[in-house]
Amino acid sequence: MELLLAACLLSISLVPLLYVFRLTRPPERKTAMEFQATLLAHHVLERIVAEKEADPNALPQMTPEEPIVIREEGYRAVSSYFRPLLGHEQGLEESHNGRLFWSLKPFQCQVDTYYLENHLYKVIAYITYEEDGRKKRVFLERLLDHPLPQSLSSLSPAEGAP
Amino acid sequence: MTRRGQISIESVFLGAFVIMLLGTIFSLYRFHSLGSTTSPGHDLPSTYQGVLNSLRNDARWAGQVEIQENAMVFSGPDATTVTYSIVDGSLLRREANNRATTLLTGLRAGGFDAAAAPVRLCSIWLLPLDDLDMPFFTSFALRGPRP
Repeated sequence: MELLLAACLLSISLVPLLYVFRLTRPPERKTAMEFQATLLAHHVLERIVAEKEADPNALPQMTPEEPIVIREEGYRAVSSYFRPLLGHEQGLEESHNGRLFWSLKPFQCQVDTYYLENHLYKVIAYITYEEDGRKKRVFLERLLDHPLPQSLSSLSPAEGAP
Repeated sequence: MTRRGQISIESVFLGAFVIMLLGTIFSLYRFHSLGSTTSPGHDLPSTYQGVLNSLRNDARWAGQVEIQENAMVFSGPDATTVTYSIVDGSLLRREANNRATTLLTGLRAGGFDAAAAPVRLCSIWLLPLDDLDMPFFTSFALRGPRP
């Protein structure tokens, strides 16, 4: 009976120990691929911001999942957000910069867009890749302002009407 | 009074106290030893994060960017300039006439690019010496007033 009590007390004393042990574990760091995907999503959003600043009426288009460098298969177009890239109009090829090409090849880019209220336009840039046999996705989003499309503005009540 | 072969409650508490004390000392040692091995210089994503933050801050005020050989020059209001350059495998940042600061070392190659006007976008790519390390590529929109 006393042995059982001793075992119980010793087990209970291990609970805070395990908690302290978990606290001292280093925080989970981003993997290299996740970090690189974040940089690519950052590129996409910055490009959208720069194009919007150059032409305030321009709005980014929604795109499906597309490669970000030219692949040897060649039947899938490179994402327009990666064309031109580093001076190459049609996108990056292996012959341009082999190491950069191979590091960017595993990633694909997709852009989703939504009209929101109050003249806002939401853009979400997704970068997808495979790691450890699992498909993973990193995304960054941004709100842009936009003039209301003609078709919608004709339906909305006139501003300032009594 | 304890009988031979049996454990008193005081011994159990003492045992629990000793285990917790040893565990805490071990956890503290682990915490400090892990903290000293993850210095920014050896952690590429942290170093890249520093480069990213630096470029992002400069792109906020810069109104113009000029690409030179192995260098990129941000210009802003009041003739402020900041130059990023790749020299001897290091990425340097230099403000006007000040001394250059090293942001990253151990580069095999790197370069800068800018989008065609009127789009104000600059891109940077960096390849580390070690082929197993990930390259760095991203872009920045200039948010300062147009010249």
